[in-house]
Amino acid sequence: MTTSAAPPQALPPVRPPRPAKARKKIAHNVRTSRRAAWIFAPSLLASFIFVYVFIGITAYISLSNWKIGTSPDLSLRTPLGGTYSEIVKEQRFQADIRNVVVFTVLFLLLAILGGLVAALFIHHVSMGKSFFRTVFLLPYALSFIVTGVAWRWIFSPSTGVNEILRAIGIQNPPGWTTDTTILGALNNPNGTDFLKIQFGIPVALLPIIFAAAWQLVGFAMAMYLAGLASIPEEHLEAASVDGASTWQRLRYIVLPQLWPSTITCFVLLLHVALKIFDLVVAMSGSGPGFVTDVPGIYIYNYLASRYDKASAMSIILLLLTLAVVVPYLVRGYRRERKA
Amino acid sequence: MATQTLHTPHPTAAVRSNRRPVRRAPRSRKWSLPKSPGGWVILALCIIGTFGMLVPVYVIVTTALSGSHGAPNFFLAFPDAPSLDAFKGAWTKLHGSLINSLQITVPAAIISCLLGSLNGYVLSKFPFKGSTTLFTVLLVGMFIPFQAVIIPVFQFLNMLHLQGTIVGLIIVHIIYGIPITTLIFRNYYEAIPNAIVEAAAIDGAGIWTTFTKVMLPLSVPGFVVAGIFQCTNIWNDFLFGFILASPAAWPATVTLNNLIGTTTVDYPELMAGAILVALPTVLLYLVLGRFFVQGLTAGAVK
Amino acid sequence: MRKAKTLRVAVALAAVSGLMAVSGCAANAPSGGGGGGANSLEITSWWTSGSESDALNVLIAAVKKNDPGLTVDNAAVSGGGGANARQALAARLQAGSPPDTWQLHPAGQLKSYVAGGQVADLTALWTENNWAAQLPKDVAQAQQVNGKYYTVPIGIHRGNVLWTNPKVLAKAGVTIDPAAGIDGLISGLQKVKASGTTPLCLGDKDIFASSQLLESILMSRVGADNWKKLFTNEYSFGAPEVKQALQDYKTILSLANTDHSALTWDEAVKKMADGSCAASLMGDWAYGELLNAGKKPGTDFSWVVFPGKADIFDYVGDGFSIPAKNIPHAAAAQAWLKTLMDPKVQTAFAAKKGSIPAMTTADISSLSQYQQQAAKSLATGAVVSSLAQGQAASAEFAQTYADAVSTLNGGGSDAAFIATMTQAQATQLK
Repeated sequence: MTTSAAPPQALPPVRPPRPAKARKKIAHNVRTSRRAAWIFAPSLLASFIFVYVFIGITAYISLSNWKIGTSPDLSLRTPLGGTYSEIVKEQRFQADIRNVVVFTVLFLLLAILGGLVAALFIHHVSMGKSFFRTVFLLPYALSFIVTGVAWRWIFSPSTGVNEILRAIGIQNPPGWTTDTTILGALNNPNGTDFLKIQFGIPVALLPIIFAAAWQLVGFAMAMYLAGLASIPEEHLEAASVDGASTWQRLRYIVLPQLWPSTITCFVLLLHVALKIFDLVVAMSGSGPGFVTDVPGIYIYNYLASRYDKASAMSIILLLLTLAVVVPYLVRGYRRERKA
Repeated sequence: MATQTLHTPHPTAAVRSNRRPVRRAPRSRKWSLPKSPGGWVILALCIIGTFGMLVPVYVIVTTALSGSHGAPNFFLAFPDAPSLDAFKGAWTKLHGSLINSLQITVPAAIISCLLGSLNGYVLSKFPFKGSTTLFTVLLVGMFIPFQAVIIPVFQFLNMLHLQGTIVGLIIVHIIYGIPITTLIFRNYYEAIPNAIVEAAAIDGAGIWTTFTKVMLPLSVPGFVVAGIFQCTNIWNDFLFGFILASPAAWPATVTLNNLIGTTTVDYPELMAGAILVALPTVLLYLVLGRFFVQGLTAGAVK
Repeated sequence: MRKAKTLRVAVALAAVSGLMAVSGCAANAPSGGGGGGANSLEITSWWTSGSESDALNVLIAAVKKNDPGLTVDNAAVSGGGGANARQALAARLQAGSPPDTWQLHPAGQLKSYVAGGQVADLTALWTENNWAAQLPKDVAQAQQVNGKYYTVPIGIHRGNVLWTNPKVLAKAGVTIDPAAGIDGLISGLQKVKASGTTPLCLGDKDIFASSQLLESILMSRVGADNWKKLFTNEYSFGAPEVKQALQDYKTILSLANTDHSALTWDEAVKKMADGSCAASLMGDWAYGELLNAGKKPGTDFSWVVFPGKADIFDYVGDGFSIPAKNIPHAAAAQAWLKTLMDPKVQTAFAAKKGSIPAMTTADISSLSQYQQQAAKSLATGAVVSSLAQGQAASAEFAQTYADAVSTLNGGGSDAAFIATMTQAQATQLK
């Protein structure tokens, strides 16, 4: 599991408000607090350098002429941003963006819905709760490489699942990650216009989406189980006393109260999906016509010959991630301030 | 059913008294058969789901046990002559990098947890002006795609002559692990009543003494949660190991990926390798799974 | 009591981990500083498969024979078809701690190392030993950049060899005649398809198998001179011969196995030898792999010069260079280079690797029939560098070509391929 498919933001725990006496006590310690702040400073400094400064450096490299790692060239490219306009015209770049968007959307749907359903069942099952929870969460402990390796074998066209399909009589089992079909293609580019790819769902991505969902559905399930556990019993009891059916209770009480868990799940899984790399490398690589290529692999490939292109793609990936993460963190921050 | 959360539900519960701690919802200890047809359906579906989730695990194990006879033709069949040959081959190729992974994971996890607990302590017990803002700024580091910083990190390690070494990787993992450990500990310490800190202050303890003599002993569950989380994340990391480590310092995930290689893939050996790489974190998870779940849901309970 | 115990445990853990980190530090110091003692040699390559590592061991044994006290560190890196090895090497070069010597292809791949000032100028060594006179002219030319020598060749591989299965061809009643050109090849493959067998086995999990196929067809159609001119921007990718070659490629691709993107190159070649297909195009490093898999030349598999008007030898060179700065063991590295240019060593190497010795003075009579025929082709045919193996042009241009081939495989149009390559010609060839 890649680093940081992590616990969600700092929502305040449910606890009674501090008595006024204690609040005054903490105000006394402002001096102590300022001294204590220095303990926090090194981490903040390290984070500042290793996150913000380094992102700035990457952004600079994306605007420069640096191509081969061993021959640094930090002169700015003219016209400024030329690398960006160069890569957006590439078939591979466009395929990557399409692939990562399709992957993220379908993966989120599958993982979140799957996690919700699993959580609802496990929450209500009468025996073996912790056993089922353990089983569903087990794939989360694995590395993406291990998952990719296993599912590569399962979806290998000559063996794996296709063996079963052939055994039951399907003559031409699907090619899985070797299939270049694009489902629901909205256009048919001629290759020399700006748009060089077909918009649609690459069939080759489906096995990878499935493998990723298998790995992370447990995570979504754990989130939802925690959320379900915090729904006050009285609400549900009152509703059933009022004659609400299970379905109605689910729809009007449970699901709305699970909304924060859904948001948390959504953001955490989304940022994992956008930077997916290990799983695809282990399962299929770039694929024919780049049907399974993702920005993570693009960046890695171009580290060998074009630092500037790799950096430009990194920045684009970062912006996509921040577009969702920043509102989420700001929201959490505002809640903290209110509390 | 209650997922045990990190929060004690009532401030006075932390005061050592003879009362048992109050739980959020009653946890039924006994297994009972389903009482209604709906209950049976739910149980059946859970069992089916279990099989579905475990099929890939089964496939990995049977393929790995196929040894030199090659993988069974029908991929759900158990091999006729199970052998451990594949494991021997995989062990020869992987044991060096398994040791590397261990040497990277243990120090990095311990140090990032220590730093996280210090930060969490300061942020929750000594909130200063702007601490929330700075904390949010720190948290962004958890979400960035690491490809966005990989080139500068590489150059930075080069400058320190740590590029390609295990120490270099440890440093990188510590720094990028601080946001998440800080989050876990901050949430954990929020639930410890301020009364304790104040009591220590009255007794004349300074910041450090309070931390070492009062907070740390109470932090064992927090350390377990953060520790497991970091151990899993660092052990399973691929990107940093792939780009920042020299072949001598490759962690196990990178070597495993290389077993896929460019020539004919030896699937039994590859699966055996996958099992070897997955074993430590899976064992950690099976033994301490409860804390694992707490790590995931820290702060999610609302 | 409990607190003290916890603290003790924590301190113990920290001490243990500190110890491990330190020992890890020592055991995994940046390679180059830690390898062996004063008299040692570290060799980086991507030769990790069966026949490749056997061949490398021949070289290592030879250099040790000349210097019995030498310790040799075989730092071959597996994975990615050489990409991992090149990346690990680039990292070390950037860090300023290079190995003593590394394997590379000459010409285009060499140029990027020269541009970065990473490889040592070996011109003095060459003139002192008069090596240039002992190599074919084109080969010697490829070891130079701007008139100076930077690398030493150990072997010559051919990229455009069509390996065939005689039994399958006989069953279909087809003979592939090189003189009949690509058209003859296509009709022959179609006859094989009509007889019920897959005509071509292709394994392009690593895209170079496809880019090798396309470049063989391109060379055949445009001719050796025009192929060279492609890399000096004197011949356009929009020329009619190129368009014809692209059409041929699409036709031949349709005659290949449908699961080609899941197979590795050696799986495809072995499948052909097992009888699943009639032919497979691959460089002659496949020869060593086929022998390793127990296939018999002549019965299980055979070969044919790639069809075309003339015999064009698609040159893929194996060679070694030494670093220009911070070389750990300069004397050992020089001895290594001299060992490589020993005719006997070259023959022994070629016997394991399936390549041809680079030196004309090396004895080839003891090598296999295939290798002797290939040596004849080298002497009489036109020699050009391979683009698929990154030898004909820079790494960037080669990557653009590889990406363009992948797009083509995914159903991309010929026009898109031509547009991409034309733009690359204009901007990336320096």
